Amino acid sequence: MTTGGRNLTILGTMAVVIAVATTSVSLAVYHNSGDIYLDRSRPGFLPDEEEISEDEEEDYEFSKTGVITKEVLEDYLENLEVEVKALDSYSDPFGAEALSDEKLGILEEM
Amino acid sequence: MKKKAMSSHYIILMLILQVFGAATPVNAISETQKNAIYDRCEIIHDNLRDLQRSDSRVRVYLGRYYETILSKFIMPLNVRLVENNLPGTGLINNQNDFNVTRADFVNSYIDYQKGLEDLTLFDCKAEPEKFYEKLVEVRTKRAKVAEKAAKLKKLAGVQVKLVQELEASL
Repeated sequence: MTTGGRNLTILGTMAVVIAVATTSVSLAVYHNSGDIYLDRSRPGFLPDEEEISEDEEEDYEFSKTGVITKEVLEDYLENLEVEVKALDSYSDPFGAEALSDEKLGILEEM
Repeated sequence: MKKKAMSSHYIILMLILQVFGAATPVNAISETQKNAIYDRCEIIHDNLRDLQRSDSRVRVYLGRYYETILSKFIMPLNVRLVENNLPGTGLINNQNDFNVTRADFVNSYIDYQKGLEDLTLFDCKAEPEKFYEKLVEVRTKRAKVAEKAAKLKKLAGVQVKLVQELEASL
């Protein structure tokens, strides 16, 4: 092998080693920081088709400037109550039932 | 005298029994439960994985609502109140509470998911008792997430109430 060829091999090997090392560090940080548990783009956690809505609803955002009147607050409350109702629709998020012995089938026989 | 000494001995004995009673594992499982974990190990793991996925979906939806309520309602209103020189101590406190609880919710969710993942990887056939112990720990972590979610729901309601009061005062 010529000197140039050897150098090229060393360079290639080093590039692969550095890439593997940096990727490993990134994955370790991704896992240890807990970001992995918030990420739904990982395999097996992708949103279902029915979850992807294409509604072009206009997003309400309360303006940071302007006078505050009864009418302004009325409009604010009307929009806020929509979000609060949506939250209320989750009656018992992360309830104990899902991890109960009964649900997992580890109940004692009667 | 003898009778009194005997009754005090009896009390001490009862106390010792109580202490030892409290020291016995609360989450000890029966033989039937142990067998059920052993027999249904794969099914339990599948159920836990399904739960992981459905929890992840709920977390995203709730997270979106929390973010919207905080960044599009609570924060802009407080900025506007300051600009208008209107009193809003309650609303500012509510913003702080909401912000802190939202961060707590995320942290407790991560903690819970870590526990749940450990559980899905744990060999329940090899150590059913240990598996059950871990399950109990994960239940506690899940309860914390539920508690934070309930608090955030309550704080969103408090925001509505405080704005209604402000509206009435104008």
